Amino acid sequence: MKPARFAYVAPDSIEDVLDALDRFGDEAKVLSGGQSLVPMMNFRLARPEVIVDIGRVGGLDGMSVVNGSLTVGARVIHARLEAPTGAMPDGRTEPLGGVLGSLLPEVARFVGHLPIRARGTFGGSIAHADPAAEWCILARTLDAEMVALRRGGERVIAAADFFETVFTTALEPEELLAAVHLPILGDDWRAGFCEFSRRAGDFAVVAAMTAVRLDPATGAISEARIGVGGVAGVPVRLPAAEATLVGEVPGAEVHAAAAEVAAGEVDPAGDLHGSAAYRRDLVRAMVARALAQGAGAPG
Amino acid sequence: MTEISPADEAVPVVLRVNGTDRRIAAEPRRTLADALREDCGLTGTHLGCEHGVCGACTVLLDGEPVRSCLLFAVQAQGAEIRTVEGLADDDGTLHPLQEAFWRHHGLQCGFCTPGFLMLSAGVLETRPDIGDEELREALSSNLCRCTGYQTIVEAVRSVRDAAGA
Ligand SMILES: Cc1cc2nc3c(=O)[nH]c(=O)nc-3n(C[C@H](O)[C@H](O)[C@H](O)COP(=O)(O)OP(=O)(O)OC[C@H]3O[C@@H](n4cnc5c(N)ncnc54)[C@H](O)[C@@H]3O)c2cc1C
Ligand code: FES
Ligand code: FES
Repeated sequence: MKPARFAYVAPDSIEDVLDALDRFGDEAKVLSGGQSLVPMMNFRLARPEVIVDIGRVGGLDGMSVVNGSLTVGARVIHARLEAPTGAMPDGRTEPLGGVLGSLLPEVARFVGHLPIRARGTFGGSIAHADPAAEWCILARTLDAEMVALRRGGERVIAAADFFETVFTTALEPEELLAAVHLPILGDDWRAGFCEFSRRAGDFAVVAAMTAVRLDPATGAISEARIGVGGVAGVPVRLPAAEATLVGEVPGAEVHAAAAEVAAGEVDPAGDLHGSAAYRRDLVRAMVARALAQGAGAPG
Repeated sequence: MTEISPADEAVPVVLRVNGTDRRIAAEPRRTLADALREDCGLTGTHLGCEHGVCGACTVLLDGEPVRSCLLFAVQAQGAEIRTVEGLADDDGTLHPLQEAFWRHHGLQCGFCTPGFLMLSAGVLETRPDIGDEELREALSSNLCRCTGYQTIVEAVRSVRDAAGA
Protein backbone atom coordinates (compact mmCIF):
# COMPACT_ATOMS: atom_id res chain seq x y z
CA MET A 1 0.00 0.00 0.00
CA LYS A 2 0.93 3.66 -0.20
CA PRO A 3 1.38 6.01 2.74
CA ALA A 4 -1.13 8.74 3.56
CA ARG A 5 -0.18 12.34 2.77
CA PHE A 6 2.27 14.13 5.03
CA ALA A 7 4.17 17.40 5.06
CA TYR A 8 7.92 16.96 4.93
CA VAL A 9 10.82 18.82 6.43
CA ALA A 10 14.48 17.82 6.31
CA PRO A 11 16.45 20.15 8.57
CA ASP A 12 20.23 20.12 8.41
CA SER A 13 20.92 20.95 12.03
CA ILE A 14 19.90 19.42 15.34
CA GLU A 15 18.53 22.78 16.45
CA ASP A 16 16.15 22.97 13.50
CA VAL A 17 15.02 19.39 14.18
CA LEU A 18 14.25 20.31 17.79
CA ASP A 19 12.39 23.43 16.65
CA ALA A 20 10.27 21.38 14.26
CA LEU A 21 9.49 18.78 16.91
CA ASP A 22 8.61 21.53 19.36
CA ARG A 23 6.34 23.20 16.85
CA PHE A 24 4.46 20.15 15.63
CA GLY A 25 4.40 18.02 18.80
CA ASP A 26 2.56 14.75 18.39
CA GLU A 27 1.57 15.55 14.79
CA ALA A 28 5.18 14.95 13.82
CA LYS A 29 7.27 11.81 13.51
CA VAL A 30 11.01 11.62 13.20
CA LEU A 31 12.13 9.75 10.08
CA SER A 32 15.55 8.17 10.37
CA GLY A 33 16.35 5.01 8.39
CA GLY A 34 12.66 4.46 7.64
CA GLN A 35 13.01 0.69 7.93
CA SER A 36 10.28 0.46 10.58
CA LEU A 37 8.37 3.73 10.17
CA VAL A 38 7.82 3.53 6.40
CA PRO A 39 6.40 -0.04 6.49
CA MET A 40 3.99 1.18 9.19
CA MET A 41 3.08 4.20 7.05
CA ASN A 42 2.62 2.01 3.98
CA PHE A 43 0.22 -0.15 6.00
CA ARG A 44 -1.34 3.09 7.30
CA LEU A 45 -0.75 1.91 10.83
CA ALA A 46 1.07 5.22 11.18
CA ARG A 47 -0.32 8.44 9.65
CA PRO A 48 1.90 11.29 10.79
CA GLU A 49 0.88 14.76 9.61
CA VAL A 50 4.48 15.91 9.45
CA ILE A 51 7.65 13.96 8.80
CA VAL A 52 10.85 15.39 10.25
CA ASP A 53 13.61 13.69 8.27
CA ILE A 54 16.84 13.61 10.29
CA GLY A 55 18.83 12.01 7.45
CA ARG A 56 20.51 15.31 6.54
CA VAL A 57 21.52 16.32 10.05
CA GLY A 58 25.23 16.25 10.82
CA GLY A 59 26.61 15.22 14.17
CA LEU A 60 24.30 12.31 14.94
CA ASP A 61 26.35 9.48 13.49
CA GLY A 62 29.49 9.48 15.61
CA MET A 63 30.82 6.67 17.77
CA SER A 64 33.19 7.64 20.53
CA VAL A 65 34.75 6.15 23.61
CA VAL A 66 34.41 8.40 26.65
CA ASN A 67 34.75 7.57 30.36
CA GLY A 68 34.33 3.82 30.04
CA SER A 69 31.39 4.00 27.71
CA LEU A 70 30.83 3.86 23.98
CA THR A 71 28.56 6.63 22.79
CA VAL A 72 26.66 5.53 19.71
CA GLY A 73 25.01 8.36 17.77
CA ALA A 74 21.34 7.77 16.94
CA ARG A 75 22.03 7.85 13.18
CA VAL A 76 24.71 5.14 13.20
CA ILE A 77 23.43 2.51 10.75
CA HIS A 78 23.27 -1.14 11.77
CA ALA A 79 25.95 -2.03 9.18
CA ARG A 80 28.54 0.11 10.97
CA LEU A 81 28.12 -1.98 14.10
CA GLU A 82 29.17 -5.07 12.14
CA ALA A 83 32.71 -3.63 12.34
CA PRO A 84 32.48 -1.01 15.08
CA THR A 85 35.07 1.72 15.43
CA GLY A 86 35.26 4.45 18.01
CA ALA A 87 36.87 7.85 18.27
CA MET A 88 39.24 7.48 21.20
CA PRO A 89 39.82 10.22 23.82
CA ASP A 90 43.04 11.22 21.99
CA GLY A 91 41.06 11.81 18.79
CA ARG A 92 42.19 8.77 16.84
CA THR A 93 39.52 6.45 15.41
CA GLU A 94 40.22 2.80 16.08
CA PRO A 95 38.43 -0.51 15.71
CA LEU A 96 36.55 -1.13 18.94
CA GLY A 97 38.19 -4.04 20.76
CA GLY A 98 37.34 -5.81 23.97
CA VAL A 99 34.19 -7.56 25.01
CA LEU A 100 31.81 -4.93 23.63
CA GLY A 101 33.83 -4.76 20.41
CA SER A 102 33.24 -8.45 19.76
CA LEU A 103 29.65 -8.49 21.05
CA LEU A 104 28.35 -5.71 18.76
CA PRO A 105 29.18 -7.45 15.42
CA GLU A 106 27.88 -10.74 16.78
CA VAL A 107 24.52 -9.05 17.44
CA ALA A 108 24.45 -6.75 14.39
CA ARG A 109 24.33 -9.59 11.89
CA PHE A 110 20.98 -10.68 13.32
CA VAL A 111 19.35 -7.29 12.63
CA GLY A 112 17.29 -7.76 9.49
CA HIS A 113 19.04 -8.22 6.16
CA LEU A 114 21.94 -6.44 4.48
CA PRO A 115 19.78 -3.77 2.73
CA ILE A 116 17.92 -3.12 6.00
CA ARG A 117 21.25 -2.73 7.80
CA ALA A 118 22.41 -0.26 5.14
CA ARG A 119 19.60 2.19 6.01
CA GLY A 120 18.22 1.33 9.45
CA THR A 121 19.78 3.02 12.44
CA PHE A 122 20.74 2.05 15.97
CA GLY A 123 18.77 4.96 17.42
CA GLY A 124 15.75 4.20 15.25
CA SER A 125 15.68 0.68 16.57
CA ILE A 126 15.88 1.89 20.19
CA ALA A 127 13.18 4.56 19.61
CA HIS A 128 10.95 2.08 17.77
CA ALA A 129 11.15 -0.28 20.79
CA ASP A 130 10.16 -3.58 19.25
CA PRO A 131 10.33 -6.02 22.18
CA ALA A 132 12.26 -8.53 20.05
CA ALA A 133 14.71 -6.00 18.58
CA GLU A 134 18.32 -6.98 19.17
CA TRP A 135 19.52 -3.47 20.07
CA CYS A 136 16.72 -3.03 22.58
CA ILE A 137 17.71 -6.30 24.28
CA LEU A 138 21.33 -5.17 24.29
CA ALA A 139 20.42 -1.77 25.74
CA ARG A 140 18.34 -3.34 28.51
CA THR A 141 20.89 -6.04 29.34
CA LEU A 142 23.85 -3.67 29.52
CA ASP A 143 21.89 -0.88 31.28
CA ALA A 144 22.47 1.59 28.47
CA GLU A 145 21.61 5.27 28.88
CA MET A 146 19.61 7.15 26.26
CA VAL A 147 20.33 10.82 25.63
CA ALA A 148 17.18 12.73 24.71
CA LEU A 149 17.29 16.32 23.45
CA ARG A 150 14.50 18.83 23.28
CA ARG A 151 14.50 22.54 22.56
CA GLY A 152 16.54 24.03 25.36
CA GLY A 153 17.08 20.83 27.28
CA GLU A 154 18.63 17.42 27.58
CA ARG A 155 17.95 14.40 29.78
CA VAL A 156 19.46 10.98 30.17
CA ILE A 157 17.08 8.04 30.54
CA ALA A 158 18.13 4.67 31.95
CA ALA A 159 17.16 1.63 29.88
CA ALA A 160 15.04 0.30 32.75
CA ASP A 161 12.84 3.41 32.51
CA PHE A 162 13.08 3.93 28.75
CA PHE A 163 11.16 0.94 27.37
CA GLU A 164 7.55 1.26 28.53
CA THR A 165 5.58 -1.20 26.44
CA VAL A 166 5.39 -2.48 22.84
CA PHE A 167 6.58 0.31 20.49
CA THR A 168 6.36 2.79 23.38
CA THR A 169 9.22 4.56 25.11
CA ALA A 170 9.70 7.36 27.61
CA LEU A 171 10.56 9.75 24.74
CA GLU A 172 8.15 12.69 24.45
CA PRO A 173 6.97 13.80 20.99
CA GLU A 174 9.16 16.91 21.31
CA GLU A 175 12.26 14.84 22.06
CA LEU A 176 14.95 13.56 19.75
CA LEU A 177 17.00 10.55 20.73
CA ALA A 178 20.50 11.84 20.05
CA ALA A 179 22.77 9.06 21.30
CA VAL A 180 23.03 5.97 23.48
CA HIS A 181 25.80 5.31 26.01
CA LEU A 182 26.84 1.65 26.21
CA PRO A 183 29.19 0.54 28.99
CA ILE A 184 32.46 -0.81 27.66
CA LEU A 185 32.68 -4.13 29.41
CA GLY A 186 36.10 -4.69 30.97
CA ASP A 187 38.23 -7.71 30.18
CA ASP A 188 36.80 -9.51 33.22
CA TRP A 189 33.40 -9.68 31.50
CA ARG A 190 32.13 -12.43 29.20
CA ALA A 191 29.13 -11.76 26.98
CA GLY A 192 27.02 -13.92 24.70
CA PHE A 193 24.00 -13.55 22.44
CA CYS A 194 21.74 -16.15 20.92
CA GLU A 195 18.51 -15.82 18.98
CA PHE A 196 15.95 -18.04 17.34
CA SER A 197 14.02 -16.89 14.28
CA ARG A 198 12.20 -18.85 11.59
CA ARG A 199 14.17 -17.38 8.68
CA ALA A 200 17.44 -15.52 8.45
CA GLY A 201 16.86 -11.81 9.00
CA ASP A 202 13.45 -12.13 10.65
CA PHE A 203 12.76 -10.61 14.00
CA ALA A 204 13.61 -13.07 16.78
CA VAL A 205 10.91 -15.27 18.24
CA VAL A 206 13.08 -15.30 21.36
CA ALA A 207 16.57 -13.88 21.84
CA ALA A 208 18.79 -13.78 24.91
CA MET A 209 21.86 -11.81 25.88
CA THR A 210 24.05 -12.64 28.85
CA ALA A 211 26.97 -10.83 30.43
CA VAL A 212 28.84 -12.15 33.45
CA ARG A 213 31.76 -10.67 35.32
CA LEU A 214 34.39 -13.05 36.65
CA ASP A 215 36.40 -12.64 39.82
CA PRO A 216 40.00 -12.85 38.54
CA ALA A 217 41.15 -14.61 41.72
CA THR A 218 38.54 -17.38 41.92
CA GLY A 219 37.07 -17.49 38.42
CA ALA A 220 33.62 -17.30 40.01
CA ILE A 221 30.88 -15.02 38.68
CA SER A 222 30.64 -11.78 40.66
CA GLU A 223 27.97 -10.04 38.59
CA ALA A 224 25.47 -11.44 36.09
CA ARG A 225 23.03 -9.97 33.59
CA ILE A 226 20.49 -11.85 31.54
CA GLY A 227 18.21 -10.02 29.13
CA VAL A 228 15.52 -11.64 27.00
CA GLY A 229 13.37 -10.38 24.14
CA GLY A 230 10.22 -11.83 22.64
CA VAL A 231 8.52 -12.78 25.91
CA ALA A 232 6.87 -9.49 26.96
CA GLY A 233 6.03 -6.01 25.68
CA VAL A 234 9.57 -4.86 26.43
CA PRO A 235 12.92 -6.62 26.66
CA VAL A 236 13.17 -7.99 30.21
CA ARG A 237 15.92 -8.76 32.69
CA LEU A 238 15.70 -11.97 34.68
CA PRO A 239 16.94 -11.19 38.20
CA ALA A 240 16.21 -14.62 39.70
CA ALA A 241 18.21 -16.39 37.00
CA GLU A 242 20.96 -13.77 37.33
CA ALA A 243 21.13 -14.44 41.08
CA THR A 244 21.65 -18.19 40.61
CA LEU A 245 24.84 -17.43 38.66
CA VAL A 246 26.53 -15.20 41.22
CA GLY A 247 29.23 -17.03 43.18
CA GLU A 248 29.36 -19.95 40.73
CA VAL A 249 32.14 -20.88 38.35
CA PRO A 250 30.79 -20.93 34.76
CA GLY A 251 30.16 -24.39 33.36
CA ALA A 252 27.50 -26.46 31.64
CA GLU A 253 25.66 -27.40 34.85
CA VAL A 254 25.66 -23.88 36.22
CA HIS A 255 24.40 -22.56 32.87
CA ALA A 256 21.66 -25.17 32.68
CA ALA A 257 20.48 -24.36 36.19
CA ALA A 258 20.29 -20.64 35.40
CA ALA A 259 18.49 -21.36 32.12
CA GLU A 260 15.93 -23.46 34.00
CA VAL A 261 15.22 -20.59 36.40
CA ALA A 262 15.04 -18.21 33.42
CA ALA A 263 12.40 -20.37 31.72
CA GLY A 264 10.30 -20.28 34.90
CA GLU A 265 10.80 -16.57 35.38
CA VAL A 266 9.30 -15.38 32.07
CA ASP A 267 5.60 -15.17 31.43
CA PRO A 268 5.24 -15.13 27.65
CA ALA A 269 1.96 -14.93 25.76
CA GLY A 270 1.46 -17.32 22.87
CA ASP A 271 0.90 -16.01 19.36
CA LEU A 272 1.13 -17.00 15.72
CA HIS A 273 4.90 -17.44 15.98
CA GLY A 274 4.94 -19.70 19.02
CA SER A 275 2.84 -20.81 21.99
CA ALA A 276 3.70 -19.68 25.52
CA ALA A 277 5.18 -23.10 26.33
CA TYR A 278 7.29 -23.05 23.17
CA ARG A 279 8.65 -19.59 24.00
CA ARG A 280 9.49 -20.77 27.50
CA ASP A 281 11.46 -23.67 26.00
CA LEU A 282 13.23 -21.23 23.72
CA VAL A 283 14.18 -19.02 26.68
CA ARG A 284 15.76 -22.05 28.35
CA ALA A 285 17.73 -22.93 25.20
CA MET A 286 18.75 -19.38 24.25
CA VAL A 287 19.93 -18.43 27.75
CA ALA A 288 22.01 -21.61 28.07
CA ARG A 289 23.58 -21.08 24.66
CA ALA A 290 24.32 -17.39 25.25
CA LEU A 291 26.03 -18.30 28.53
CA ALA A 292 28.05 -21.06 26.85
CA GLN A 293 29.05 -18.71 24.03
CA GLY A 294 30.22 -16.10 26.53
CA ALA A 295 32.18 -18.67 28.51
CA GLY A 296 34.06 -19.76 25.42
CA ALA A 297 35.03 -16.34 24.16
CA PRO A 298 37.47 -14.63 26.50
CA GLY A 299 37.97 -10.90 25.95
CA MET B 1 13.67 27.32 10.25
CA THR B 2 13.97 24.87 7.38
CA GLU B 3 11.42 24.96 4.59
CA ILE B 4 8.44 22.61 4.86
CA SER B 5 7.00 20.81 1.86
CA PRO B 6 3.21 20.75 2.19
CA ALA B 7 1.51 17.37 2.10
CA ASP B 8 -0.71 17.87 -0.95
CA GLU B 9 1.70 19.58 -3.30
CA ALA B 10 4.11 17.98 -5.71
CA VAL B 11 7.53 19.52 -5.20
CA PRO B 12 10.35 19.53 -7.74
CA VAL B 13 12.70 16.61 -7.14
CA VAL B 14 15.89 15.79 -9.03
CA LEU B 15 16.86 12.14 -9.06
CA ARG B 16 20.18 11.00 -10.47
CA VAL B 17 19.35 7.61 -12.00
CA ASN B 18 21.91 5.54 -13.89
CA GLY B 19 24.02 8.64 -14.42
CA THR B 20 21.22 10.86 -15.75
CA ASP B 21 19.41 13.63 -13.88
CA ARG B 22 15.65 13.13 -13.90
CA ARG B 23 13.56 16.16 -12.99
CA ILE B 24 10.20 15.14 -11.62
CA ALA B 25 7.48 16.61 -9.42
CA ALA B 26 6.54 14.43 -6.47
CA GLU B 27 4.45 14.71 -3.32
CA PRO B 28 6.54 14.00 -0.22
CA ARG B 29 4.77 10.66 0.19
CA ARG B 30 5.93 9.40 -3.21
CA THR B 31 8.24 6.44 -2.62
CA LEU B 32 11.42 6.17 -4.66
CA ALA B 33 10.04 2.95 -6.17
CA ASP B 34 6.91 4.72 -7.41
CA ALA B 35 8.91 7.72 -8.60
CA LEU B 36 11.16 5.44 -10.66
CA ARG B 37 8.26 3.49 -12.11
CA GLU B 38 5.60 6.16 -12.56
CA ASP B 39 7.56 9.38 -13.01
CA CYS B 40 10.73 8.13 -14.69
CA GLY B 41 9.11 5.29 -16.65
CA LEU B 42 11.70 2.85 -15.33
CA THR B 43 9.45 -0.11 -14.64
CA GLY B 44 12.29 -2.59 -14.24
CA THR B 45 12.18 -1.95 -10.50
CA HIS B 46 9.38 -4.17 -9.24
CA LEU B 47 7.06 -3.82 -6.26
CA GLY B 48 6.01 -6.90 -4.35
CA CYS B 49 5.20 -6.31 -0.71
CA GLU B 50 5.75 -2.56 -0.27
CA HIS B 51 6.90 -3.09 3.28
CA GLY B 52 10.53 -4.07 3.03
CA VAL B 53 10.28 -7.85 3.13
CA CYS B 54 10.56 -9.16 -0.45
CA GLY B 55 13.37 -7.08 -1.96
CA ALA B 56 11.82 -6.94 -5.45
CA CYS B 57 12.28 -3.16 -5.33
CA THR B 58 16.01 -3.27 -4.50
CA VAL B 59 18.09 -0.50 -6.13
CA LEU B 60 21.56 0.82 -5.41
CA LEU B 61 21.76 4.06 -3.47
CA ASP B 62 25.33 5.35 -3.50
CA GLY B 63 26.45 1.79 -4.20
CA GLU B 64 24.54 0.03 -1.40
CA PRO B 65 21.48 -2.15 -2.05
CA VAL B 66 18.39 -0.61 -0.43
CA ARG B 67 14.61 -1.14 -0.51
CA SER B 68 13.19 1.59 -2.74
CA CYS B 69 9.71 1.03 -1.26
CA LEU B 70 11.00 2.23 2.12
CA LEU B 71 12.52 5.45 0.87
CA PHE B 72 10.75 8.61 -0.24
CA ALA B 73 11.87 10.17 -3.50
CA VAL B 74 12.59 13.45 -1.69
CA GLN B 75 15.11 11.60 0.49
CA ALA B 76 17.01 10.24 -2.49
CA GLN B 77 17.94 13.66 -3.88
CA GLY B 78 21.68 14.07 -4.22
CA ALA B 79 22.35 10.34 -4.22
CA GLU B 80 23.52 8.16 -7.11
CA ILE B 81 20.68 5.75 -7.85
CA ARG B 82 21.21 2.68 -10.00
CA THR B 83 18.43 0.47 -11.28
CA VAL B 84 18.31 -2.71 -13.33
CA GLU B 85 17.97 -0.59 -16.50
CA GLY B 86 21.53 0.58 -15.92
CA LEU B 87 23.14 -2.86 -15.84
CA ALA B 88 23.41 -3.77 -19.52
CA ASP B 89 25.62 -1.74 -21.88
CA ASP B 90 23.99 0.75 -24.24
CA ASP B 91 24.52 -1.68 -27.13
CA GLY B 92 22.50 -4.32 -25.29
CA THR B 93 25.45 -6.40 -24.07
CA LEU B 94 24.29 -7.99 -20.84
CA HIS B 95 26.01 -7.35 -17.52
CA PRO B 96 27.94 -10.43 -16.31
CA LEU B 97 25.32 -10.97 -13.60
CA GLN B 98 22.48 -10.93 -16.15
CA GLU B 99 24.45 -13.34 -18.31
CA ALA B 100 25.04 -15.63 -15.32
CA PHE B 101 21.40 -15.59 -14.18
CA TRP B 102 20.46 -16.65 -17.71
CA ARG B 103 23.14 -19.37 -17.91
CA HIS B 104 22.45 -20.81 -14.42
CA HIS B 105 18.64 -20.59 -14.64
CA GLY B 106 18.62 -18.01 -11.85
CA LEU B 107 15.16 -16.90 -12.92
CA GLN B 108 11.84 -18.39 -13.89
CA CYS B 109 8.96 -15.89 -13.84
CA GLY B 110 11.46 -13.07 -13.45
CA PHE B 111 9.48 -10.98 -10.99
CA CYS B 112 12.18 -11.04 -8.31
CA THR B 113 15.06 -10.82 -10.80
CA PRO B 114 15.67 -7.04 -10.94
CA GLY B 115 15.87 -6.99 -7.15
CA PHE B 116 18.24 -9.95 -7.02
CA LEU B 117 20.43 -8.46 -9.76
CA MET B 118 20.78 -5.13 -7.96
CA LEU B 119 21.32 -6.84 -4.61
CA SER B 120 24.06 -9.01 -6.16
CA ALA B 121 25.63 -6.11 -8.04
CA GLY B 122 25.86 -4.06 -4.84
CA VAL B 123 27.23 -6.98 -2.85
CA LEU B 124 29.89 -7.97 -5.40
CA GLU B 125 31.00 -4.39 -6.08
CA THR B 126 31.50 -3.56 -2.41
CA ARG B 127 32.66 -7.03 -1.26
CA PRO B 128 34.31 -8.76 -4.24
CA ASP B 129 35.92 -11.45 -2.03
CA ILE B 130 32.73 -12.31 -0.15
CA GLY B 131 32.78 -15.90 1.17
CA ASP B 132 30.18 -18.52 0.29
CA GLU B 133 28.45 -18.35 3.67
CA GLU B 134 28.25 -14.55 3.66
CA LEU B 135 27.04 -14.57 0.08
CA ARG B 136 24.18 -16.95 0.93
CA GLU B 137 23.34 -14.77 3.90
CA ALA B 138 23.35 -11.63 1.73
CA LEU B 139 21.13 -13.30 -0.88
CA SER B 140 18.68 -14.32 1.85
CA SER B 141 17.68 -10.63 1.89
CA ASN B 142 15.30 -11.12 -1.05
CA LEU B 143 12.47 -13.53 -1.77
CA CYS B 144 11.95 -15.69 -4.85
CA ARG B 145 8.86 -17.84 -5.24
CA CYS B 146 10.10 -19.86 -8.22
CA THR B 147 13.72 -20.92 -8.31
CA GLY B 148 14.42 -22.37 -4.88
CA TYR B 149 17.39 -19.96 -4.65
CA GLN B 150 20.14 -22.48 -5.38
CA THR B 151 20.45 -21.39 -9.02
CA ILE B 152 20.59 -17.74 -7.95
CA VAL B 153 23.40 -18.53 -5.51
CA GLU B 154 25.26 -20.41 -8.25
CA ALA B 155 24.85 -17.56 -10.73
CA VAL B 156 26.21 -14.93 -8.35
CA ARG B 157 29.00 -17.22 -7.17
CA SER B 158 30.11 -17.78 -10.75
CA VAL B 159 30.42 -14.04 -11.35
CA ARG B 160 32.38 -13.61 -8.12
CA ASP B 161 34.72 -16.46 -9.11
CA ALA B 162 35.19 -15.21 -12.68
CA ALA B 163 36.09 -11.73 -11.42
CA GLY B 164 38.58 -13.13 -8.93
CA ALA B 165 40.19 -15.52 -11.45
C1 LIG C 1 12.43 -6.79 6.35
C2 LIG C 1 12.84 -6.17 7.64
C3 LIG C 1 13.41 -6.96 8.62
C4 LIG C 1 13.80 -6.39 9.83
N1 LIG C 1 14.35 -7.20 10.78
C5 LIG C 1 14.74 -6.67 11.96
C6 LIG C 1 15.33 -7.49 12.96
O1 LIG C 1 15.54 -8.69 12.80
N2 LIG C 1 15.68 -6.90 14.13
C7 LIG C 1 15.49 -5.54 14.36
O2 LIG C 1 15.82 -5.06 15.43
N3 LIG C 1 14.95 -4.76 13.43
C8 LIG C 1 14.56 -5.29 12.24
N4 LIG C 1 14.00 -4.46 11.30
C9 LIG C 1 13.79 -3.03 11.63
C10 LIG C 1 15.06 -2.21 11.42
O3 LIG C 1 16.05 -2.60 12.33
C11 LIG C 1 14.84 -0.72 11.60
O4 LIG C 1 15.96 -0.11 11.03
C12 LIG C 1 14.74 -0.18 12.99
O5 LIG C 1 13.78 -0.87 13.74
C13 LIG C 1 14.31 1.29 12.98
O6 LIG C 1 15.39 2.12 12.64
P1 LIG C 1 15.21 3.20 11.50
O7 LIG C 1 16.42 4.06 11.54
O8 LIG C 1 14.89 2.53 10.24
O9 LIG C 1 14.01 4.06 12.10
P2 LIG C 1 12.68 4.63 11.43
O10 LIG C 1 11.94 3.55 10.74
O11 LIG C 1 13.00 5.85 10.65
O12 LIG C 1 11.91 5.07 12.75
C14 LIG C 1 11.36 4.12 13.64
C15 LIG C 1 10.67 4.84 14.80
O13 LIG C 1 11.60 5.48 15.65
C16 LIG C 1 11.43 6.89 15.66
N5 LIG C 1 12.77 7.46 15.61
C17 LIG C 1 13.78 7.07 14.77
N6 LIG C 1 14.91 7.74 15.08
C18 LIG C 1 14.61 8.56 16.13
C19 LIG C 1 15.37 9.49 16.90
N7 LIG C 1 16.66 9.69 16.67
N8 LIG C 1 14.74 10.16 17.90
C20 LIG C 1 13.43 9.95 18.16
N9 LIG C 1 12.66 9.07 17.47
C21 LIG C 1 13.25 8.39 16.47
C22 LIG C 1 10.57 7.20 14.45
O14 LIG C 1 9.80 8.36 14.66
C23 LIG C 1 9.72 5.95 14.35
O15 LIG C 1 8.65 6.02 15.27
C24 LIG C 1 13.61 -5.00 10.08
C25 LIG C 1 13.04 -4.20 9.09
C26 LIG C 1 12.64 -4.76 7.88
C27 LIG C 1 12.02 -3.89 6.85
S1 FES D 1 8.44 -4.14 -2.53
FE1 FES D 1 10.07 -3.27 -1.45
S2 FES D 1 10.74 -4.93 -0.27
FE2 FES D 1 8.95 -5.76 -1.19
S1 FES E 1 11.82 -16.11 -10.58
FE1 FES E 1 9.75 -15.99 -10.00
S2 FES E 1 9.89 -15.00 -8.09
FE2 FES E 1 11.94 -15.40 -8.53
